Order: sequence, then structure tokens, then C-alpha cells
Amino acid sequence: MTADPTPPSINISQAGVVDVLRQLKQWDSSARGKHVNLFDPRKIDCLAPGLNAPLSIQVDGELGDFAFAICEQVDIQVHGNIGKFAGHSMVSGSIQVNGNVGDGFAAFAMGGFLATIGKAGNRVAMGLAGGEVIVRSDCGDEAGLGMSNGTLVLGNSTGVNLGLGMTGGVILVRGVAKSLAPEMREFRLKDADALRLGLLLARAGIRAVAKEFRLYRPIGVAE
Amino acid sequence: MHDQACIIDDLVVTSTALSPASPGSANAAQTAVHLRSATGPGLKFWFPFFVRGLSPANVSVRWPAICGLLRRHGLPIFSTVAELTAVSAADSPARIAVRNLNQPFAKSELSCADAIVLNNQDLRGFWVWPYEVDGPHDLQRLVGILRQATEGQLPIGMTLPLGAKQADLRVCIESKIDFLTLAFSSENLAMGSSNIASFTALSVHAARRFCVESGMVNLPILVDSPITASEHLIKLLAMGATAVNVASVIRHAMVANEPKVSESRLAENLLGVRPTVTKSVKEIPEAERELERMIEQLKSVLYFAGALDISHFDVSYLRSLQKSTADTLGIPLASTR
Repeated sequence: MTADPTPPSINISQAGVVDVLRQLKQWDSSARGKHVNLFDPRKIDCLAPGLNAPLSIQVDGELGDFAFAICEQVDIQVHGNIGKFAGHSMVSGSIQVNGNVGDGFAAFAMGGFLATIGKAGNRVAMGLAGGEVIVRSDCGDEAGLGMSNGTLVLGNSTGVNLGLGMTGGVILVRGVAKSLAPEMREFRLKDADALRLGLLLARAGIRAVAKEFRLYRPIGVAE
Repeated sequence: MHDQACIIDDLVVTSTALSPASPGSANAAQTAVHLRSATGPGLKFWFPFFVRGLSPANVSVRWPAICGLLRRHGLPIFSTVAELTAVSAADSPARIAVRNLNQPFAKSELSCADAIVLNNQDLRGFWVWPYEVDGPHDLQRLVGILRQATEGQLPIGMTLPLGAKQADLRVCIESKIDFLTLAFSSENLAMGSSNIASFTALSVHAARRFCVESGMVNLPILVDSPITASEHLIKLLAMGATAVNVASVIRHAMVANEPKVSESRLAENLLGVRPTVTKSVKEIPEAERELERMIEQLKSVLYFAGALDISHFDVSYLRSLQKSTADTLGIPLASTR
């Protein structure tokens, strides 16, 4: 059976979050193709948590809080802003946001690729346990709070207490960090780090020179 | 002056108004507890008891035996997947998964749990709302994503400290949780045992009263307190607890037959002699006897009080022996029927 050439669309505000999740799960098991458009979200909260399917989802509009939490395998593109805690506890897959994100973007993510070309609120990548997080523009205070693993890339300035309580992972900053947490130190950006950073930036569609970034790690963590 | 320390001892279980005699026995009492979920069957346990705070780390070789004991008596345990991998499937009890403060929601924990509870205690034992809960509706969203991720199959609960403020209770109730856990906190450990019992009783009574006032009369409240006296635990059930933690009772019963490892450790440290590896304990008869005694006691109390269903066993079956206790709790004096 061949896949349907026109990708299916779901009106989120009409269907409601429970029905959207049910339909997405059904699409995964059907042979209708792996691309789904979601539109008219009207800042709806808790969209598609726990979705585990190799789907490609495009969302047009502004989403509320806790969007795409605990997701696995899904590749998501959002054209609009997202509220707090998008990509919470994400396991794998990707979320790319063409807009701003609220507080706690990629909080407790264990894997995957999360990027925004806009601004981010406070505590971006809080408790990050794996995966890669990129913020193209400014972000708020306490970025990387309690990170234990993974990579956080900040393309512009960041607020106070960068990396507070961090036990592992790495933060790369191009702009100015208002203040560093006491346990954070700047390390030399090696060629291998620059190469890896360049690949991440390219994946997020961001044009920047990797060598402009400064690398921070908590002290006592092996490079 | 009345001593607040013995407030729970001032309460007695009495029968309600006389009703027509019906044949039956103490064993006919319905003791099962049901934590309901949005769409699924929820979690049922045979008796209003559960275990929280026991793990392989603190019971060592007795862990499989404890799990087997709970399985035989249909009681759930607060545990992780990793802790139960050492236990055979036939001995695995129902599992309540705990999502601790500031940790990810692990898929493996969610996918094979019978219930989920959010725990807000940090590593120092302090109670705080997690970072995700910044306003009154955030907990509702947090519960919402869990409910969707588990397709509404699992009951979702929230842990608050004993003595929680009404504002915190209100946030939980408005979040449409399926059950509430009230837990003793480490900063209260300096209390004497009778103080702990009284503090627990007052807290449970206040929480249940608040639930009733908020229109959530049947919200299950699981109470985790280090009380070892079975009569106190049964009184807690009448005061508003739906189920009580019996980990302290099991641990207390096991202490008498604790394997003496101090000599072997001494030998290892001083003489470099490795102690023989202890095989896992298959049975813990002393704990089993104590648990069965508690179950029998509960059935007897229900039978003699005239409450043949645990869900009907409420504060109306209690009377105060002291006027000050009656004034504090609003429970009538034993003399006024």
C-alpha cells in the first residue's frame, strides 16, 4: 500500500488534547504516512504527552504549557511560541521551535534534540540528563540548573547563576553570562568540541562560528 | 491540664446505633481498598495497608521475602522497577511508582506501575513544590500529562507532609488527583512516639475534614507514619485514612530476628576474614505473624463496631474519653451517645 500524498491535518482546538493523542497513535499504526499537521492550537496545554511513534509533526500556532512531554522518536516542528516546560522528560526525537519558549524548556530531558530560534525563559534545560538543547537568542536565569549530562548551547546572552547545581554535561555560550554558579569554570574549546558544536548549529539551522562560543563545565567533571 | 501527647489514646472505637441482627462473622468484613483511575481498573488492595520506605538498601537479604509477603496479602509497595528486578514475578507485589522531586518521568517506571505518586521531598527531607509547580494550575497540568501518558489507566497521587496547610491541600484537590499521600517528614523525627501518633491523628483528621468540606468526600488518603502500634493505625483508618503504611510494623517485627552481622564485619575489618555470603531469606515468619495479627484485629474491630465495610468505617465510630480531646477533634465524648 502506498502512503497518502496529502499529509493528514488535525484541528487541535476542535479535537481536544485527548483526541489528538489518540489520533496520533492511530496514525502511527496505519499506513497513511508519517507526517501529520496540527493547527489552531490556541495555547492549549499538555499536547501529546507520552507519544512514542516515529512520526513527523508540524504544529502551526501557539502552544501552552507542558507540550510534548515524555515523547519518544517523534520529530516535531512548531511554528509559533510555546509555554512552559516544553519537551519535559523527553526521551528521544526532536523539537524545533520557530518562536520563543517559556520557562523550563527541555526540563529533565534524557535525550533527543531540542532547539528554538527565539528566546527562552528561566531554567532552560533544567535537570537535563542527556540530549542537546539549543537556544538561538537570549535566555533567562539559572540556565542548566541541576544538569547532570547533555549539551546546552546558548546563542546569545544568559541571566544569572548559569549552571547552578550542575554535576555534569557542558554549556556553550556565545553572548554574555550575567553570572556563573560557583561550581562553574570556563574551559578551552577544543577542535573536537568546535566541530561537534558546528554540527549541532547546522542541524538547528543557525549560522554561527563555533569558535565564538565559550565552554563551561562544573569543576571536577572530566572533559 | 490535658496532655496532647496521648490524644489518640483518648479515642475509642464504639459501635453505632443498634441495627437489626444479621448473621455473619468477623471474617465477613469487607476490607478491600480501591484507588480509582480515570478510565482503567485502578489499584485494589485487599487490606487498608501498604508499604513505603522499605527497599533492598535497608532490609538487605530479606527483601524478596518482604515482597513475597506483600504479594500473598495483596498489599502494594512504593518501589522502583530496579528494586523489584531482584524479585521473582510470582513474588512481586503491586507497585506504586514514585516520581521524586526534580527528576524526569522515566518511561520504564510509568509503563509497569500500578499507580503513580509525585513526591515533593528534597534530599534534605524538606517539603517543597517542584519547580514545575509555580502556580495553582501547574500541578493540574503535571497531573494532566501523566494521565494522558498513561492513558488514564493508573491512579495518580500526590504526596504532602503530615500537617500540610489547607492551601497546599486545595492545590492537590483542584488538580483532580486520584489519591493523596500524607507522609511523615524527617524533620519531625525528634518527636516522641506518642507525639508522632497524636500529630499523625490530628493531621489526618484535618485533611479528611478539608476533603469533605471541599466536596471530595471519597478522596483516598494514604498515611505514611512511623507508628508501630496496630491499635493506633486502626484508629487512623477511622479518622479518615484510607490505608496506612505498615513498613514500621514489619521492620519492628523483624528486629527480634535480625541476623547478627556485627561479628562478621568485625572479623572482616580486623582479621581480613571475609564473611560467608548470606543467602536471601525466603520467609519472615515474625513479620507475617504480625501482619496477620493486624488483619485479624482490624476485622474484629470492624465486626464489633458494626462496620462491615472498611469504606464505611469513619469518625462516627470514634468517641473521646477526654473533654479536651472532644473539643480539639470535634469527636463526641464517650458518655454522650
